[in-house]
Amino acid sequence: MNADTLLLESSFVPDAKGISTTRRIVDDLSSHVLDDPDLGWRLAMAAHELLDNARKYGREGTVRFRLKIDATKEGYIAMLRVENRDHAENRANLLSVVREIQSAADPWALYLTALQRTASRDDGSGLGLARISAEGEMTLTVSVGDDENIRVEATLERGRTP
Amino acid sequence: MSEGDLAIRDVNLEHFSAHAEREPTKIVARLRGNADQLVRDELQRIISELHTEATRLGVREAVLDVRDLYFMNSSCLSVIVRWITGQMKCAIESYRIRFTCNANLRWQKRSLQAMATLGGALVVID
Repeated sequence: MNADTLLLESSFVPDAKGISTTRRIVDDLSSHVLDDPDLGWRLAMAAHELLDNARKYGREGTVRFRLKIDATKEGYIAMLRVENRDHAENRANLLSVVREIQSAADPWALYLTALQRTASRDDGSGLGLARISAEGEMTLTVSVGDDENIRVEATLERGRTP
Repeated sequence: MSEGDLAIRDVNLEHFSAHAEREPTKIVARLRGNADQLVRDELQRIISELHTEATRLGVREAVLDVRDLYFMNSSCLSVIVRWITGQMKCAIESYRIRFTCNANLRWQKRSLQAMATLGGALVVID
């Protein structure tokens, strides 16, 4: 990575084609910038899952999407953010799911629990965020902006290879 | 329907396709492309028909060949999870579920590792 920061931002209506296109862009761009296809895939998967959630649970069509990769002394910090308007009942569920993930001692154990739960669910898989945490090895946070938009962020950090 | 016929309909979409064939002791369903929200219902149908046929024909294995499947989102993963957990609940010993993978496709390593952990001896990863 030659520059200190890479920033990609877009606003769009996240239909299935747009989500897959964004995933491929994130994969190509971050794999190249970080020189690590595995990190690129993890970011791309997380982008897809976050945008899928925004499409499924959002109140209005448009989402704001951001990918930011910062070089640090120790390595890199890569952050994905998806921001959109949502429904109150979905927000409570989202906060609850993210809290459970944040407090999990073992993300893989929680992911396996989520996989078992999904077998009995009728509404959505409930897997996306747990997948980001376990398969993507990323940290999740959620916040509400001044404009009342919900923001979900997924972050990964990597140290430099010795 | 004769025993030789396979009642699993192909899928031929712009970015996703599926085709199943019977081999002597197994049924192999080859998935190609991108398994996202647009194809979830088709994937559900394929898996349902694969299960029905594997049971009817009494094969030892139902194989999902995903070597050319470039991505699977969590909605489609949940279809696979329901299939695996449904088979785990079967009282009668039935067929095994085998995934034929592509090590160069990074989603497969982690996602299918999760499927193998979930399914135990029922699930085999190649």
